[in-house]
Amino acid sequence: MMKELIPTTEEYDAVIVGAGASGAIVALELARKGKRVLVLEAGRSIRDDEDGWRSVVDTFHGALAKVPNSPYPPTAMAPQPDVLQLAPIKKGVPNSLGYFVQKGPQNFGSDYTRSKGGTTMHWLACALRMLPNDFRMRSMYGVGVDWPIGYDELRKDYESAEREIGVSGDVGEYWLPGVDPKTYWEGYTYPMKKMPDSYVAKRLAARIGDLKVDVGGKDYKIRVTPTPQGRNGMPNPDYVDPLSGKKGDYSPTGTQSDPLRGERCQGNSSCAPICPVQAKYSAHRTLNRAQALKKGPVSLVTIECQSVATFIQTSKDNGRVQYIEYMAYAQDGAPARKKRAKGRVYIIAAHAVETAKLMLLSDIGNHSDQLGRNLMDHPTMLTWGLMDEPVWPFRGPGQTNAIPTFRDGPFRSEMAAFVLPIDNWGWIWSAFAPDVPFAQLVGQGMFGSALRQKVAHDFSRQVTLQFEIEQVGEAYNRVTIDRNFLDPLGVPRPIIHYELSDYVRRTMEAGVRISERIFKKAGITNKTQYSVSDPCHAEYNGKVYSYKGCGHYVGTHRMGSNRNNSVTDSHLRCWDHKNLYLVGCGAMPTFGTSNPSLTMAALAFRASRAIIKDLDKHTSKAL
Amino acid sequence: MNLTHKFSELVRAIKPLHGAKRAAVQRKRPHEIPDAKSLRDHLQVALELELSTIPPYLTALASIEEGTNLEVAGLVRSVMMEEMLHMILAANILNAIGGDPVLAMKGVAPEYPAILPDSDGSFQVSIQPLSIAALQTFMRIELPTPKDTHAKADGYGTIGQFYAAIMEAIVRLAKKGEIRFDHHPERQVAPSDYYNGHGKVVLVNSWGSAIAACKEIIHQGEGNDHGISEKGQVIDGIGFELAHYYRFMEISLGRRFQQGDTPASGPTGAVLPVDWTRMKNMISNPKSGWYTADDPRRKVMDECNETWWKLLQELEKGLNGKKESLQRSVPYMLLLKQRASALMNVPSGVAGTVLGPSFELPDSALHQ
Repeated sequence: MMKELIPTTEEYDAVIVGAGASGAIVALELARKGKRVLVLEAGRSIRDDEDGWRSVVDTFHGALAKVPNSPYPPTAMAPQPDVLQLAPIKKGVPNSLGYFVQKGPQNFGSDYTRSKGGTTMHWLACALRMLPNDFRMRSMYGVGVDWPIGYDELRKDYESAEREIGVSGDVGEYWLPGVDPKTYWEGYTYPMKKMPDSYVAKRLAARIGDLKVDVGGKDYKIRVTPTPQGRNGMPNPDYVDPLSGKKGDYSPTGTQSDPLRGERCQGNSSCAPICPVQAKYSAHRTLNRAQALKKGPVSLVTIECQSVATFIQTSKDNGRVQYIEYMAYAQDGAPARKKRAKGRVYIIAAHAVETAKLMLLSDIGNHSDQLGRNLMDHPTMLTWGLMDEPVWPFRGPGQTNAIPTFRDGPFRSEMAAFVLPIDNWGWIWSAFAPDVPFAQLVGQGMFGSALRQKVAHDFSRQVTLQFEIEQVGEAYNRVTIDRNFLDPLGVPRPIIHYELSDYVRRTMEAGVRISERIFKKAGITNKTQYSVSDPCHAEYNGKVYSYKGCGHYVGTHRMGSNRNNSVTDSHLRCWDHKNLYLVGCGAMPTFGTSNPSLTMAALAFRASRAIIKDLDKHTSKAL
Repeated sequence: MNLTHKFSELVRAIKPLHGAKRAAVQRKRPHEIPDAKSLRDHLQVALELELSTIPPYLTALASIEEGTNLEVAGLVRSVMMEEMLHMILAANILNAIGGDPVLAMKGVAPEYPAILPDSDGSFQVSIQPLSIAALQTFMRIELPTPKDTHAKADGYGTIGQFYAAIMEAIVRLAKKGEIRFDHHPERQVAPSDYYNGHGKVVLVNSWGSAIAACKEIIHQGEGNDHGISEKGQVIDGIGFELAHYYRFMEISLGRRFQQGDTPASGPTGAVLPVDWTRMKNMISNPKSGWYTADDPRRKVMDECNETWWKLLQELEKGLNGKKESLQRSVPYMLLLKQRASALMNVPSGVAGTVLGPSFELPDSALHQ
């Protein structure tokens, strides 16, 4: 029999699977040390010029339903989940309408983007650090697990991440529960000044006043604070650049089409999914910076898009990865070509679900039986209403402020923590405003000036609160594979098992009560409606609560203190395979109430250091 | 018609100007700025000079049909943004040495067609749509100063020549102790106040920083050491900032520069697609006075002029210490562009052309 001839790349220092923020940061850090890097990206890339950017903005503008993936249609060869594919799950009948096979009992309500740039192509760019207690949930509150490292060990990496992403924020105004600002910040300032507070947040703060709400027998003061954001604002003259050591020298980083043009937020109000002026960070910026690093005339970083990793080959003798098999496709439907990528170190940074899927497909790295398990999101319960004064939503970033009051507290031993972003886009997320409420008014027979007056009156008073609820890892919330469900390339699709625990549901119950208190004090008439026909809902004590997915996929290859309780060590090195790193949100054992991308980016810096050390330690070929 | 070919000829036609200028400007003694007051006056002229470039660039930008020629629009826009930076830099120097920037006044803001303030008057700047002729003017504005040209404060041939005279005076007067740079530090526009394009605001508090500010202006406009790039080097490992003159040359020739190119080689990089059929057929140098008070065209032109007037007022306040006015001026900038674009949908009544912005100030702008 003739042996199949499979084209194999030259040997790189590192092969990275995934060109999202994690993969981009590792590529940049390695290239800064002169390492040669190959990045494989399953999805397509939008073009890095004005036309390319404009075309995705146009695609978004033309989409009837504006959802996170609207600007980025999937490729059939690297499909991606879409929130429009959510449907109620009946017992025993999984929802396999879309890319996911959702086994339930509840829907995982989030999507992600498989393209160069990853989910930073549609993120909202909230850049919250985790709280110190978020790292020690088991020892503080007896739930979840502790991280093998604490906040202090990640602080410098947070600073690196905030520089790379370009975060606007104000340390002085940023109150956090149970946090000593001195030890939390150590005199730090963000690279850029905070985004201006939205008018609705200002009015809510003023109307809420000194409201206190009882949770678990303790009174909590409702506070409104700014949210740090990964979008360009005004440089902070007090900022000291950790790379150059210079003070007051920060320039907002450029757009992907023009790295020298640092556009700043001008309030176009479509941040999620897409900022037309590119004030919002996307991983394209980091990839461009990485690709600009050269040895002689040759770029140290090679990015191959439309290259789907399908298998990780390991040595039977020592467990080391030998190569990664991938399928390169030219276009949808055309036959893909099987190839192999070789490196001294391998980094899987393909997204929490995709990384777990690839590891499971390759049947490696699962001594702990934790691979694919502990899948988490921030199930987000929305409450919405009409305020008794106009608050002029739909202007500026999607959220500029939040109520951080309940991000930490003794109640966490009984019920989940939550953060309460103040949505700046009226009922967009809660009731599909402006389209659906408008269509309803027309359906009621309104027209002409009466309709105009009604729209002007109601839409300017729309308020939505988001209860983004912490989840802790549960073994039953997991990604598995089943070779009965394949994508067009013949790769198994992710099977998602997901159920909200009572730890989360108790918070939903309390959240509705807290929302009622806030609405009453602020003069908001409640218009919230939950229904069992919502694809994402949960029942508790006989009541129904609806939630949305927040796009925060976490936990599928968590780090830990030893190979029996975790997939990787705290440097994200796989316990079972010494030259394999799993980088991304999947590494986080818990993630509190912070949007995970910033922590993910910080971990990518941490992992990069370990990878560089490995590469430098073993200068010989065999690593 | 082969426009590229046509323009190559135009570029060649410009080149002899170098020689011509040289003959005109070489004198036995460079024109000097004698004292502190004269330096302040000249910096006020610098402010006016930078200001006077913005309306023609804005008009050219607005004349590109929305959604077309994106790369070209990006280039024009980047130059326009940097002219705003230059204006701010001139104001920072002027403020530091004790002047008071003036913008919102008739005669300060130019009337078009205009010659560049205090220049040798060898060419006129018009309000006109983006075209080969417009680009020819733009390149003339940003023309690199020939190597052996003296600094010249009045009747200058190139902007570089003018700033060379300012720099010479800054150093000389600072050394003699006739100027200090510690006036009104609160008026300095900082990076945090300025919405940057390429380039950076320089805080002026010494003669060194004043010189750095002047150099930023010259290099962004003309290039550095007679190369095509502003900094003459690769920046942060990414790309290079092309001087304005060469950005306009790229549009003219429909081709991008790449690293390694020189003024002599011209652009040898990727094709820059230019669709000349998607530029608005705007009439040059329109005037609101063409239309009677009851003509709706008069109304839209007046609205656009009103926005220009308000923008100048806010900017002037902003440069005289009222920082919040700088922020307030931003919406007027966006509105000005909107109104300029809107005018280009209105038939002028002349030979199938459309209207455009006229940048006229009200009579009340004579006195502050």
